[in-house]
Amino acid sequence: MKLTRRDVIKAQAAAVAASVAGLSMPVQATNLITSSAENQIQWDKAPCRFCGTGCSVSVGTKAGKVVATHGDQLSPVNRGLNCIKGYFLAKIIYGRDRLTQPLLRKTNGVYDKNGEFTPVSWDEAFDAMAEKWKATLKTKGPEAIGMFGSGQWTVWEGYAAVKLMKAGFRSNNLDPNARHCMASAVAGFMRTFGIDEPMGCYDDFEHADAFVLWGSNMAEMHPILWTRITDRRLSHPHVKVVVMSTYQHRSFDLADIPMVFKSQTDLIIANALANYLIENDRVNKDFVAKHVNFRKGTDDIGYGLRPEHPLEQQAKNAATANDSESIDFKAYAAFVKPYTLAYAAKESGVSEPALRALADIYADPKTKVMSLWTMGVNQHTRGVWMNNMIYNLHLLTGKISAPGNSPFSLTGQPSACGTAREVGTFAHRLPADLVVTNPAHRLRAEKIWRLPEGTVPSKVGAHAALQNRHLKDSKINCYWVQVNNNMQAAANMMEETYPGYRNPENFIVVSDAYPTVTCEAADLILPTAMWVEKEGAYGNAERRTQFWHQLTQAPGEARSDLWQLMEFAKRFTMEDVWPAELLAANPDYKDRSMFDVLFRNGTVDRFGLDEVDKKYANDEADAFGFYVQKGLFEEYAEFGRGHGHDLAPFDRYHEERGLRWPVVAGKETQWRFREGYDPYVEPGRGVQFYGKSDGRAIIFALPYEPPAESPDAEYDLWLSTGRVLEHWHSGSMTQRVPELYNALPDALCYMHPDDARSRGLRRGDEIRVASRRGEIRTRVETRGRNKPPVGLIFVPWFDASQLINKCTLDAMDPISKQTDYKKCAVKVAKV
Amino acid sequence: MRNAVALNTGKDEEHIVSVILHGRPEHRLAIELAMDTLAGVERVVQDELGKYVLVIGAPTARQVMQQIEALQTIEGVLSATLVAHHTEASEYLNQEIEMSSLILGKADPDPAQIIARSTL
Amino acid sequence: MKKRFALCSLLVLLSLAQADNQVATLRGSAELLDTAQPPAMADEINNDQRRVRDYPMAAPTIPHKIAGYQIDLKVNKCLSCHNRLRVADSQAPMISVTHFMNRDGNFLADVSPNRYFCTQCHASQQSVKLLIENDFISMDELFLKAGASH
Repeated sequence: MKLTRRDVIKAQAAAVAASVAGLSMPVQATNLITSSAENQIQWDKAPCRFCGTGCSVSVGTKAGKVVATHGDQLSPVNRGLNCIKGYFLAKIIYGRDRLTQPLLRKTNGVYDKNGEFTPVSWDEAFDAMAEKWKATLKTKGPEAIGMFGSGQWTVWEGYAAVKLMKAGFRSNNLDPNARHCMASAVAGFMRTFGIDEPMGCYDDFEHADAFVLWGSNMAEMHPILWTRITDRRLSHPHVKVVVMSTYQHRSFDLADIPMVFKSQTDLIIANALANYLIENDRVNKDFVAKHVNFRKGTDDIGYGLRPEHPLEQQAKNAATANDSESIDFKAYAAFVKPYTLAYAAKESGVSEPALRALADIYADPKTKVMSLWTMGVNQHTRGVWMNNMIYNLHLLTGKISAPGNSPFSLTGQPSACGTAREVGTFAHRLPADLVVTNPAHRLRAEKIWRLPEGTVPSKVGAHAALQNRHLKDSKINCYWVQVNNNMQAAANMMEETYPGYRNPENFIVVSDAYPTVTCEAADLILPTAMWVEKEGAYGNAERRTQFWHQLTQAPGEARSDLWQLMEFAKRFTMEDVWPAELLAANPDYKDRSMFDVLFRNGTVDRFGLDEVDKKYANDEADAFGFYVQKGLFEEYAEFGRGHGHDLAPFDRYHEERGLRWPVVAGKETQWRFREGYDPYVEPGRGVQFYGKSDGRAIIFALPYEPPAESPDAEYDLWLSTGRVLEHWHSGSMTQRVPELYNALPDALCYMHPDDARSRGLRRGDEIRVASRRGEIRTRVETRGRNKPPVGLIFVPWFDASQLINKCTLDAMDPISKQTDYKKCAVKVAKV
Repeated sequence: MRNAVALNTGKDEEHIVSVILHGRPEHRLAIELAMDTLAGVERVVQDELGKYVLVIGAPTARQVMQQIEALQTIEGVLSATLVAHHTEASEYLNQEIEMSSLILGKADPDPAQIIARSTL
Repeated sequence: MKKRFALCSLLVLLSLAQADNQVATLRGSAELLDTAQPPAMADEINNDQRRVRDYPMAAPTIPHKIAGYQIDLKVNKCLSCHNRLRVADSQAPMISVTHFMNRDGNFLADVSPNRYFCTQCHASQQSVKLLIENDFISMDELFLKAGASH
């Protein structure tokens, strides 16, 4: 029987529609493709692997392979749309150089830090790891081991890591790469509201009258959310879009009020807008009186550099950076009084009329305004202050927790919210916003984990940049990196990251799907499963937790991060990891393996294999003999249920296109802190910021402080770094997809034509971009998508052969410990 | 401004789309009668609640859209939503594919059996 | 103070034996601490040859140059050739029907505003050689292969 390509295409198109409609394609009805289920395309939902927008896609598999993906029509996030990266999700797992076997550096058959990567078995890999870990724990204790995880871990991977590190090894040296992207946002939430994550949701896009982008480039970085803004703006002419950045980029194409401001002066602009509201009597006095407290934040807090750095020596309050004192509205008004629009215009370079137009948007009580920000605000030496100051504007006007009125902190990674923040994979955190420094919080974790009191260490561990410094200083000697490419991502590679990883005293283990530059610097590489090669869950920027099933097999011996974490735990008995006193007081734990204590504790292992959906593979459940993902999730959910972080039962998420927490009585929450929308608001309160014990959010009085390193006579240009649309993060996935690679194969130095001309450069010339710390070679682009002003260049970080973080500085916000990737000084010269 | 010929081979092209149509169950017969009169529109699968998956083929996207508009005007139709859209030169779509051993499962294909299945 | 600090770092660096680049395939042969010559900027492919998509829903790549094409509040250069009423003159392929459907599933008379910025989904391709091959197998190939095995 002969069939044509037309028949095949029609069948495929019909199959897609049927899947979307929830109808099954009976054999008889198709008329084209017959019996064997093996030969039909199976469609299943999954969140996109990339950004924090959290689109849902339908994944088509056939004969065990992923053959297609398309935007999920049923998802309220994207309703069938994808961005260019999403359209090629089907290809990301098929790069030819997938890692398929553990690789250990060896010379003459024996481990050697300078040896050649040699394929070994998982057994030998874990043997080597366990040996190093045990030796280090014995000689130097838990503070000498560390783990760097990820906002791209699944929820249960992050949770398993938290247990492994904080309860098993008793080390708080666990931090995620989300420290580089969202830490300032988190600290901003905790300071202003006492509880993490946005109070609004994506529905705000269809209600707002104005959108203000504070330094974010949504057109490239949150493309599907940008389509919702574009739709709103083009369909409703009264809607205004304000785009603020230190250089002109694609989001400016939709801007009614474009603003290019001098680096760091966003602090001044924010205060000037607050002052404008006060001077023009646009403060919502009723709202402020009922729902707001005022505090003055400590200033002169330094830049989180190494203590011997002169900037740190000069900073008066580096040690008390997060402190503040109570003030009143009058004092706050006096504090912001010097920040006039004229002053802001002078300092920022933005025209006064433009600033006034922006100010009027916040000031007009009838204009519903959505403020949107990501890395421009967060990767900032005063990022926490910026977060607080944007909330100030929404709190002064009462424009918050209501459809369209929404200060929306956008998330970069697909699960920085769902995993890193909510599960607490940070040096100072536990799940559901609990912290290690609070004895009541530690006790709660120990109870849920069925562990003796005193298990969880109370001392805050090393955050991301500090981990690199400790590696260099030999204070951390055993280090495990999962789902990130920190050699490429961390700032100041030459002085900190590289020496740390290659320090002969350190044993570095890197789990990845592809051989990255971080793998190159490692001593042991573990081949890892990706995305739909395992059952997973992510949580996006609007608090939407989304699940997916395992849909295909990982290649070779690659295994998921979850399997690795749990399997590694089997190598340790409690005597290897807990101090004698703790064991003596709790002898029941003495002879058990760490795997038993953490993962066979009666809670994590309470769901049997009979609960696993037989339609799908589940390699981890098979390996361990119980439904590990469900057990981990349900134990984790105990932390948040009843405490404002409620998650629905596990099984529900496999049915839905995600649900936004808190999910109470089966219903998700769209707007938090407002009665009628949020079940946690006590009746009659109207608005209640229940993260604070008195229900009041805090407006912070905070000043302008300069960046850590500004251009000078020799290093005369600002360097800003970031992403581009076609590539995700360090490019380890997207550079291996032909359509995405061919769209933009190499990083470029985006530069103003005048800056090029004055340096004798023409478009396409090879240049050296150098800072005091390191340099790269790249090419000049004067006509690209990014149009910086004179005095600033932009270089994206997706290119493994142009490691721009050789130039950047590891200065950070001292409160959040988040690196500033947007401001350091470089010089450019022709090669 | 591109005035160059986009279809560089000058070939005829076809547009194939799939559509989800929602109709009121009480209008079922009338809706199905009307659908079946539209050229290029095929009913592929449906349920008792008034949901249909259709496949539409036409030489131009404009004609596809016209058919979709026509579907939307049928009495009792609540919505017709386009799901997938594929465009290709007719010449390629006419290419035959040997489906035998793979598509028909592991057993050797029995031609009589196949013909029977496809006419169900 | 800063110079001493930098010198210390440099000494530490030099004392570390530098391994040759063994696995970081996207870097070619360049060792981590080296800076290699960047490839020359390539041209956008401009031959109007439409490419086969590996699955029907993949967004087609653009077969011509788009450098300098403006898409903003005032003008959409792409639509000046690809919009429904323009294709007779331009002979460019019309944007697919999916572009006329909005978020709520309703068909509009003109391009749905949420599809306005074409380059969010479509990119031109540069004439470069791939760094790493991709072993994605299309559904057509799988249909044609005898037997399916994991």
